[in-house]
Amino acid sequence: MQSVVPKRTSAPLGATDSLNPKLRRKQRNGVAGYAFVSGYFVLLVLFGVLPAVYAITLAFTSTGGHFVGLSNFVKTGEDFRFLPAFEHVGEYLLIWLGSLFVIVVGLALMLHSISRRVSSAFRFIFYLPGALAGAASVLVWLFMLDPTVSPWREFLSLFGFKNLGQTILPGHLPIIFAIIAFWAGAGGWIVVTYGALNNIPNELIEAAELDGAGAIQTALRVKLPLIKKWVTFMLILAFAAGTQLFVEPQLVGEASLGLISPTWSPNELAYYFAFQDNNFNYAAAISVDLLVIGLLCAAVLVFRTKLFEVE
Amino acid sequence: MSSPITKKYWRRPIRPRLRASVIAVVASSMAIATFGIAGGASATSKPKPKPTITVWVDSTRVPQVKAYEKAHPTVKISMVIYNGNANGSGVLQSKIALDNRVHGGWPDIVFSEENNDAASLASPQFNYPAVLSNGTVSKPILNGYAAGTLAGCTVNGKVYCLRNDLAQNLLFYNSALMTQFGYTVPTTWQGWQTLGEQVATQHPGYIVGSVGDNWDDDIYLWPSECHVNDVVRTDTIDINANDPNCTRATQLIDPLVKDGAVTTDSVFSSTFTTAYNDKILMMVGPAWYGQYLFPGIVPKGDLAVADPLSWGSGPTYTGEVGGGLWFMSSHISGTTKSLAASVLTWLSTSYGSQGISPGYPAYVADETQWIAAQQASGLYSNEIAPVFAKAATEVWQGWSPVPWSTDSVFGSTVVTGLNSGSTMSSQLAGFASQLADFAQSDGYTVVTSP
Amino acid sequence: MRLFNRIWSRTFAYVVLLGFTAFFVVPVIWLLLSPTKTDHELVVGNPFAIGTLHNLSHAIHVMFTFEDYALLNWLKNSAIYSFGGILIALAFSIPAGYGLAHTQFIGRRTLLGVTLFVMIMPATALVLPLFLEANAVHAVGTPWSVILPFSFFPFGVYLAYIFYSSSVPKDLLAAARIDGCNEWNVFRRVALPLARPIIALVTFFAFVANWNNFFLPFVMLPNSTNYPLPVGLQDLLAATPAFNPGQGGQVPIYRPELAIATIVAMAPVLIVFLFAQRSLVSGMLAGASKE
Repeated sequence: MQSVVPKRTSAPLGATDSLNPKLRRKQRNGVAGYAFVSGYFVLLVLFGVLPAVYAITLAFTSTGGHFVGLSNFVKTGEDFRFLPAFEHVGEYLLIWLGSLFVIVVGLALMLHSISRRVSSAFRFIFYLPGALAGAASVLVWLFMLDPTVSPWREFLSLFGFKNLGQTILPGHLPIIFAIIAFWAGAGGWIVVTYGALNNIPNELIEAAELDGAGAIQTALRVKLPLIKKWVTFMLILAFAAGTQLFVEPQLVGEASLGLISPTWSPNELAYYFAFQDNNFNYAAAISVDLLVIGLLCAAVLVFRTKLFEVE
Repeated sequence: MSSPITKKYWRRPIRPRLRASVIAVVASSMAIATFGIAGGASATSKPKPKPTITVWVDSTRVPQVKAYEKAHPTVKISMVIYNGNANGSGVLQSKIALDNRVHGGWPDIVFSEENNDAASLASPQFNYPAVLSNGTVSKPILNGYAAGTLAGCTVNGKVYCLRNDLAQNLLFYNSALMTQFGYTVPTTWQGWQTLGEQVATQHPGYIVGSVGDNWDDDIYLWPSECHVNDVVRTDTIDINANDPNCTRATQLIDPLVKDGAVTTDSVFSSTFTTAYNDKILMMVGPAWYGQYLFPGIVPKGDLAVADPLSWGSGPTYTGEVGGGLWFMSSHISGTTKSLAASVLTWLSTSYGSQGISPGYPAYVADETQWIAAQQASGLYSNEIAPVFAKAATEVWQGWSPVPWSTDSVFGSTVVTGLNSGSTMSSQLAGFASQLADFAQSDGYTVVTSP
Repeated sequence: MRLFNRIWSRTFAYVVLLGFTAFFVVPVIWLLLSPTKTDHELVVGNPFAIGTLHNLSHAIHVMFTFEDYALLNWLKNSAIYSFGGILIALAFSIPAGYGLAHTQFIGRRTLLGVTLFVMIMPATALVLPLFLEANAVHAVGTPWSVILPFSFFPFGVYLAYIFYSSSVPKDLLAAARIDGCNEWNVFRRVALPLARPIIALVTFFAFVANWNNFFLPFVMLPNSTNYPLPVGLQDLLAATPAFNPGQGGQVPIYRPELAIATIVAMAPVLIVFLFAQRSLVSGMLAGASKE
């Protein structure tokens, strides 16, 4: 049950009261902040920073522990599987990010425009696939992709696929993985985006409608800008997750009894180096490649949308 | 309801900074303390007066370990069930890699169903299995395996594992259909092709083989002595896409695929089961096809086996698809080592273990009894003992265990090419070049046989 | 005209939503129907055919008794690891998110940046150092080797941060400060009660992340009795003829039984989702809840 809050007549978001000197003094108090983040800070160092530093160090050293500069990066870059893996993931990303952004935001907006009970039911349904973890969904996709037994077989036969092997030919893989990843991941993002939309004060939306804005205009001009931070966050993570694609190629490879290369994506290649070749340094080099790419995207988005700023 | 701001917050709270710091300190100490207290479950093996032998097996091998425990109640066995390193999952490599990093925790005995694990685990990066041919396992026992079968465990002249079972390729056929159509069982690959052409015209819809699985290189290329996997000397491998032994096999198969007598569906796929139920005239495949593929799609009692097909001149060779391996850790010594060696040997050679193993025993002494049990099950319509035994000795040794998965490359190049409509022959070059890439990436020198 | 627009946009919305419903739900319906059929029926029959209760009870029986009730054991382990991780994660993430959003301190932006950095770092690279850390304190193979890393939940911190910085206005907190509240009370009495939706959201996501995590437990737990569901399922797949034809023959786990295992793995997540949904939509301040 929500507590009653003082009525206001203007939009609270973004308003500043920093003219009040007493407030400013309190807000400049830096010590309280440390207290709130201290517990998390310990966990961050133990399970985030220290491992990350270790991993990055591995990327610049050899198996014996000597510093080797960029040698690991060069050697992995020259590996015959490196370039194809990045090409694969590049194609995948284009399809994945585009569809994720448009469809997730679009569906969340549509859910927001209909009654809450009904949208609750829809959100539950959209989320259902997200509950299937990687290994668990192998069985499902073994059947979904096989034109002989799939519920989608009419659709698959439109493309002329006669067996599972034909469905998962190399050229089709980026789309297939994008579909699987979307199927499993969209629900969660829809929930977050819907929650974000739900936090928009009603008055703003009513004000826009009073001004004569149609549904689409309200959505695009009013709602979307107000959930900018959430959408940015989603894009950063989706981009990083996309470049680090691992589960979908693994599970379709398993479902097809090994018809897909186990190093289809760069992350799989890193895993292969680490655990099949026992070369953690090469694996770390590829991980750092992926990290840098993800950080670049994050940096661009963070600075353009001022994600770290609080007004 | 009153605003939360005015609710009784005049109670004196602990100063926020102090309180939060206390929480943080307590939490961190809890973390460190519990990590420290939890020392008892460490996986490192320590020498004890009566050693406990840690054995990693998959579900299917559990009965064999339990049989050992029953027969040897004084020996302590700690059994861990894992996935057997199946399907190229590399689980074993992952665990050994981590154990190597912390210098501890290796299992004493491990079962793996991945044929390449001998080469992979014995490589300097992993350095896991103990050498067994230096007296650890006695010579009479090593000689007790079917001829040539320990080649799958031999890397650079040393034996690193014992075989659990074999998966030698034979020719399976439906005796009822063969009689009904009036065909004779072929003895050569050329004869098989001619028969296939006949079947395609006279009885379309029936098949004489399949090339839809990633292990089909073991079925068609291996028996042909195709040189794409031949480790000729230490760290040197012979990979030759243009080897006439390879092309003769693919050129044999391509017309049959075109005519539909050989299918490109995976034998375990739904497509195969629906399309070829009782439509399998014959198929070359590993011994375990008999128990695990054909029941249900070949009527009971109609299944028969024949000797592997030959290419006409020279000795007849066959390939194999699978067969499990037993490894022992190289990091143990003294009483633990000798105890582990005896457990290993028992699991691999005694009838108490092999009798309940679902695969054809590699150890010759167990084969007769095992085969008799199979024959008694009524699955087969002819005498299988001579066929199984002979085929076990005919596995060509020029197809070596290597640290990468040849089958996996075959699947992603050749089978994929077949699925998109190309011929098998046209895919050979790509297959061989990827194998060469893997070999070089793993430090091998690639040579091409003339 | 306005009414027409409304009807049109509503209808359009429903059509699209129903279309996507089919996309998301058809495989799940297939999955729910699978245990009622035999393995053979799954292959040759209609995907949406409904089988028999007999098949269903057989599949349930076989799956649950496999390997001495391994499935129940994995379920128990998953529950322990997930809930253990959530409790600690919540205790630290929510205050951290609040602190990052509504207090000023040196290094605030750095902390945000480092958190984002760690989130973007590929998990494959972090697993080895985590393993080494756990090994250094002899924790490998214990539940803590999994629970403690689970309690580090940067995603939750970000959710809390974005929520607090976009949806909780500074004025409200300022008013509390003017009234004389110290920082802790501002949090406890104003910010925290408002955070019910975000606590539900973070709990839910933390639960799912922990429940579905494969790699960390795989690395930390050598013994199969400690496996959570994802690792257990992976082993199961390798043991069954469906995915391991030659070697898996002894084990009578076919695809209907695998479907049972899959459903068992899914169900808790959905139950938690249903509970969390109720809190998620209870709106927030400034009367934004839709009715």
